[in-house]
Amino acid sequence: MTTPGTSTSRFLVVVTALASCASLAAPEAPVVRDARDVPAALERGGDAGAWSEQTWRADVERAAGLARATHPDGEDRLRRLEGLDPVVYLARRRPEPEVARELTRLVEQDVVPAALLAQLSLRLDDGSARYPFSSAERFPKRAAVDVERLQRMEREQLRAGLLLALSSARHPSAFYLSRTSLLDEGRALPERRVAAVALGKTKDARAVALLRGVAVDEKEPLELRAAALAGLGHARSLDAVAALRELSRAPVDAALLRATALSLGQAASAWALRAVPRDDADAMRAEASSALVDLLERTADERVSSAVVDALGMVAHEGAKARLAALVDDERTPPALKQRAALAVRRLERALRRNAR
Amino acid sequence: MRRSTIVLLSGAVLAGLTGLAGCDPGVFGPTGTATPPAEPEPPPLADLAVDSDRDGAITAADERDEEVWSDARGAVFLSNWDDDDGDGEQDARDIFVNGSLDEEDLARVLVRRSPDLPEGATVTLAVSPPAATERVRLFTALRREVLIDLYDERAELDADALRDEDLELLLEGVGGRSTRWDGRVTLTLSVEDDGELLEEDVVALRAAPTIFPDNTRPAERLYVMRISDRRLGENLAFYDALEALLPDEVPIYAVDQYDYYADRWVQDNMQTGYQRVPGPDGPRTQLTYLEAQRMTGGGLEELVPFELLGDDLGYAYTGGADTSLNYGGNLEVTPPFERDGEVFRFGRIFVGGGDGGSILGSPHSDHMNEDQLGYLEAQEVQGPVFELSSEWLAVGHIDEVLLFVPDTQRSERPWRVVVASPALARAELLRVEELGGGDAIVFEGRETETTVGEILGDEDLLAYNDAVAARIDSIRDKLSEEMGLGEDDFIEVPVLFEPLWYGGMDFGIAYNPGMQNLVVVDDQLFVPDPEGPDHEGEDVWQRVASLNLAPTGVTIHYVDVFESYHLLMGEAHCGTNVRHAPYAEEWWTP
Repeated sequence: MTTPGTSTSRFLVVVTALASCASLAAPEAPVVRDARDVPAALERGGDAGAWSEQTWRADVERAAGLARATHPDGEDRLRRLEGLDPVVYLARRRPEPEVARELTRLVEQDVVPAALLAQLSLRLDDGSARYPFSSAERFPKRAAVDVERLQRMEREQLRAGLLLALSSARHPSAFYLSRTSLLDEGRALPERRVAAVALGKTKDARAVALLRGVAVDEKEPLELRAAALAGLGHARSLDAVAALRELSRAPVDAALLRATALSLGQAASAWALRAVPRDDADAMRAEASSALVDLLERTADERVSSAVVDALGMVAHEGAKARLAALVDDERTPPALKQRAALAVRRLERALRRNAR
Repeated sequence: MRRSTIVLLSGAVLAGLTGLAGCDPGVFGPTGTATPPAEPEPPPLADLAVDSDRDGAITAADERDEEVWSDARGAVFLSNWDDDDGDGEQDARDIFVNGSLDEEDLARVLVRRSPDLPEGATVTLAVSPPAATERVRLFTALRREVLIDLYDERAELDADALRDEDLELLLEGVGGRSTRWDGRVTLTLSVEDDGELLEEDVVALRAAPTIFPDNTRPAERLYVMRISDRRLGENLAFYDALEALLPDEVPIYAVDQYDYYADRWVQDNMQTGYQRVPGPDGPRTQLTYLEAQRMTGGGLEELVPFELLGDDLGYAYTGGADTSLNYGGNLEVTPPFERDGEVFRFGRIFVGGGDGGSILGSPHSDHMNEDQLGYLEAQEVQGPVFELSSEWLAVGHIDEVLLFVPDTQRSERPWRVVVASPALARAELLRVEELGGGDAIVFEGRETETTVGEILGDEDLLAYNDAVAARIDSIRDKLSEEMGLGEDDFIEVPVLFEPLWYGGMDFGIAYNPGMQNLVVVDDQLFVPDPEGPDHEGEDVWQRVASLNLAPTGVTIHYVDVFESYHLLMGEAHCGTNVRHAPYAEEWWTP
């Protein structure tokens, strides 16, 4: 129970925070007369805003303003990321900046609201973030490091980390921010690749068509197309599996077929479908499994077949076993395919055994 | 092998033959009549001798096949990479014999006395092939003066002196076996008179390989950094546990935290090994560490050359492109084994690397640099080197996936492979959840604290681990193929992985402390505490690991590495290095 004095102070803080964002807020932003008027979901950057194509930026600003009110230390913590501090990251076994894990954890632990990450992401885009990246003085003089490279990397890693953390949190801004980064050809390729995966991680149904479009776009770099396939894998839905199945039949570079196979494994992983309704999960695994065996039969590329074998183990569907066994037993099966199928059977059996533990 | 165009018999030799005919009844034929005795061979004009039979001494028995080096026969020598005179430099870097200790590191070459050298004859000693001339040096033993320096191909010897006495030389190996030189040296002693070759003698030698003992060899020393300064990320929980639990006969070498700027990854800057050659008093050993190509700027790259270098401890350094895959955590050795009748007496070196891309499908390749890999291959006795996929890992080291441990209960293959298993980790979490422990805490009290339910509910994390499990399956298959392993040669320990992102690509790292990244000291294992959920008062991940390891008969100590190593992307093995005893077998005996 809050005391009248406390709720009045919170009210004043909230109104002040809103006022600071007033110039950026959409005209239809609600007036908050009392802290108890603030929906809990919006307070935590939830989907209580419109979050439409027209309003999402304003929704970010509004949510961030409220987040500052409820988490007054959040912004400060966001500006002191260990993964961007050379004193910390140079001590790591891989001495490079990396913050996705840290940001995801900060949001999960409610130390930093997701809305603040979303706002920072927007402000990095428009150049108004004034983020305290490390200065040259922060790097030990003796260190045999390329300071400029690491400083560039800090910026890149912050952008990537924000997108990944927001998508892990399923924040409503994640779809829009990831889409913006993915489709902007002027952005650095690493950011676009991460954006593709982050888009899939949002589990937003709209992501599938977007990712499919990038995956088939021959004008895009191969690495980005592979990332789009990985994004489909993360989308983990019937539509995503269907899209991947279609793409597995396309006459594309072996690297893309390899990524497609692994993404089918991700999308229909036997370990990952707990939250999916049983019938849908079974359908996804059956379809992915079937697509993988089809691909195994068609490909002569060692890298692709190796990825297919891995993915079949991930999906671990009994249905694949029968088809693979038939290939092994059929005299007409070419020797190379027979060998691949036999390996796939062994791996699948191992996967089925361990999944039964 | 000696070739002569003219053989001159000296008066002394003839007199000897005559005397022999009068005294030896054996020269009388069956009829009883005296038969002139066979004329003894005159001493050769050119006679080189080395320890071809590898018994530690130069005797007449070394003459046979001395001109050919083979696995069974041929002289060997050390690469003189230690520092016997304590001047802080490897002895091979200067043109001196650095004292009597250093002299013992050099191979003896004997130019035998040649009393029949014609007046005016020229005696020359030559070194070949060209690659060898760049990597060996010859001194006179008496005065310890350079006779043939690097890049010199030949030297003229004092013929007058040679008529009266032997000339003893010392051969110094400066550069060891590598991609550019297989270690073979030929010495040719030529006697000429007025431009005409009278006689020649040839001997063959070869540089000893550097051998890297595997984890199952007895431990002799453990290197670890002691970090007490909290500002540097202290590691006393780990260090103190090692200090308390290590056997007395395995001392800790505490690396200073300030001297190396708290660069705690003692596994990575070096690989411990040795060279060994026959000696007059038994085999002569020089500890030889491989200094990995790893530049941090004042970190552990200075440990070996500036602190450990000493008498009978030297190092090899190959240079080349800098990649994390050069580091010691990515260089391991199998125990000795046999496969399909082929015996690998000293095991085989294996490294991490590959072209298999990331777990989520990004094209990506990474390998140990060619110079270092070539050096490892060039040692031969632990080859051929093979590669296991590690390019998908954030640090890229094979010790993040598997390591060999002793099995004291097996006789034929007294070792096993401890391998990270996401499936086992997941299975234990599922079991806890099924027993009502969905809220059980994992990583209790740590900044990454979570619950069983949260982990099992993270579908992206689990799908990633499903893919990692598939990749580890392929690694196991490759290792099994290389070594002829079966399923029961593997021991699984529970380890989950998570993706980190660099350059837009996913790279894997251990999510819980990687239990396979352990320290082996004889029959003691120091295993990273996985800090899993408790069930009935026991950490379920520790429980299943202990169960799986129990048949090996080793003693397990779980050690706290969470803050001091795990959160910094490494574990127990990464933060230590063990010097193991040389193999009982000698590489030069077939």
